Amino acid sequence: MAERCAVIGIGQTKHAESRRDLSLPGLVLDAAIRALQDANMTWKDIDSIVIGTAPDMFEGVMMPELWLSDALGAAGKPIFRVHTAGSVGGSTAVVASHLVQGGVHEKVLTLAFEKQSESNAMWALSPAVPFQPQLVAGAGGYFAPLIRSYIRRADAHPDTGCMVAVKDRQHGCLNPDAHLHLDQTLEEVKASPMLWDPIRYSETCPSSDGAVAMVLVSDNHADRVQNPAWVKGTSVRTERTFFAGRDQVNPGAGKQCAKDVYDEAGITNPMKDIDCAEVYVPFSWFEPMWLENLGFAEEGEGWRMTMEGKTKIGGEMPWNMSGGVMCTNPIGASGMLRFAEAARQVRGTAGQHQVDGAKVALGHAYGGGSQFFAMWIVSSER
Amino acid sequence: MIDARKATERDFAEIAVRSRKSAMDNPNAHIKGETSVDAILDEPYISSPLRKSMCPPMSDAAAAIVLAAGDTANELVKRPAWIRGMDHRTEPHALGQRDLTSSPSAKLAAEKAGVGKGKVDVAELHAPFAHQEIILREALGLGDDVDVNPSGGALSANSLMTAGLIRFGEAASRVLSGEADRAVAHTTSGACLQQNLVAVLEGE
Repeated sequence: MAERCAVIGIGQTKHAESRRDLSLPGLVLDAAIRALQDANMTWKDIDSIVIGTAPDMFEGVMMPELWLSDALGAAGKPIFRVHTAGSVGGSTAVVASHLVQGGVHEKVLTLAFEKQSESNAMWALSPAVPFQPQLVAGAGGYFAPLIRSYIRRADAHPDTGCMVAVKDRQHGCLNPDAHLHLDQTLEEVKASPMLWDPIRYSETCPSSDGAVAMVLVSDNHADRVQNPAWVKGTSVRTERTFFAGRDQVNPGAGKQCAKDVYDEAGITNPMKDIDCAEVYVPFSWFEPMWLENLGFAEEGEGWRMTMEGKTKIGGEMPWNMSGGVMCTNPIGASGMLRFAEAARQVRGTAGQHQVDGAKVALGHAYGGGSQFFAMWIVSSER
Repeated sequence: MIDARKATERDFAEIAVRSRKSAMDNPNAHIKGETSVDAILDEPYISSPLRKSMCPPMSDAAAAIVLAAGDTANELVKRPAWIRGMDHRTEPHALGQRDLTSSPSAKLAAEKAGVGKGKVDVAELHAPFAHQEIILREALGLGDDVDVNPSGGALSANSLMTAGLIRFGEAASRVLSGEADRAVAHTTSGACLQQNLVAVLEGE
């Protein structure tokens, strides 16, 4: 694509179990205004709006992009919605970056949101047979057998998932916008109730209200800020949900998506060429699983990186510096939060959870039954 | 529209008659056939002033179109329908903030897409309710010489979320076949034409 694309504004709400103080339009407006201020822009600078959120039934608002047009100053502009389940925040940012790279628009506001307090996503995901195959109570019921399979295949240390939970929650304590601020010990996490064996209560993400917004611009507007994050690569991949022959523990679509985004960004060795990553880990065990899927570790070895502390801030390859999905999970926004946190790292604006000298970062999102993947690589260098 | 003296119920009925008649040439249409303005004006109101035949059916359907760039398009087909302009605009959601007898977002999208830059042979307008065709003709600046909805339009087959892509495909197919040199496709979403997309398709 012809044009370069830069992130010049990032804004997010304070995330919480319930933002009763804000309506849905208020929630997206709060994130959008913060992003515009960060970009030194006003509403009239924006050419178009790309919005993403999870399935409508999560909040019971059909086609929320129509309703939210008013709050987002969209009258007279294009606004459209992207929808790819849990990965939607990531694929929304990818679509927005393509509008800039393709020369369709020069200044795009992209945002994603979820107000989980207005519904019950777990049971929205769990209609009874025969309407869909039984998920046994929400996403955890779907993913638990995959995690058990991973532990068996990799012969992983049983504490790995709990170690991720402790680490991500420690990181979350450094992030004032995070929903959970929990200083937990390994023993406390291990003692928490088992929900979907082997996933304990403390190894799951929370249900959050929140929104995130970014301003993406073409080359000739990037100098509105001193520290743009340049989009070096984007990729989206998909595979079937219930094909018996697919490897759901280490999905092919995730590997392909990673290869594609690395090729576009010129990354040959992620451990060497990437400084840090924000990766969609809604259940703690997905950190070692995705370390392998994304090529940061050999197959069967991802859990060792976690156990050795390499994925902590200050470690060899920090993952989820913001606390990640384990601390903040407004579903539709969770993917874009990963993309936004990656951009904050290379802009040097990640505050207490900044990785020193981060220049290249990966943002990652996945959704559905580990079948939708979206990724981008951002860099401080044009 | 009636209170604003922009149209009469008879105008709506004429659009329904023409659409159902055009649909007779469309093997994929859901509702088609000869009917008369008087017969439609004898139907009971569904919601005044709209009568049954001025409203769309509820249809099942899927649609797909293939896009290709530059030389690839020329290799695949003899006469590609080139997308010369395309634009998408929205309006406020709240009905009270809008003049529902006009469509400023469709007008703006048509200007940006370049509808007025040449003669339009065919237009496929996503107007599931008969009166919307009048609003859209005005917004897009289409004269009486334009063949509107030769497929029968959404009044003859309305599979909601696919109806817009079908408009796009119907307009493109008339350029592909050589029946038209310049076609306009329009699609909408949201209550009372809140969002509108307009595209201009041309042969070589």
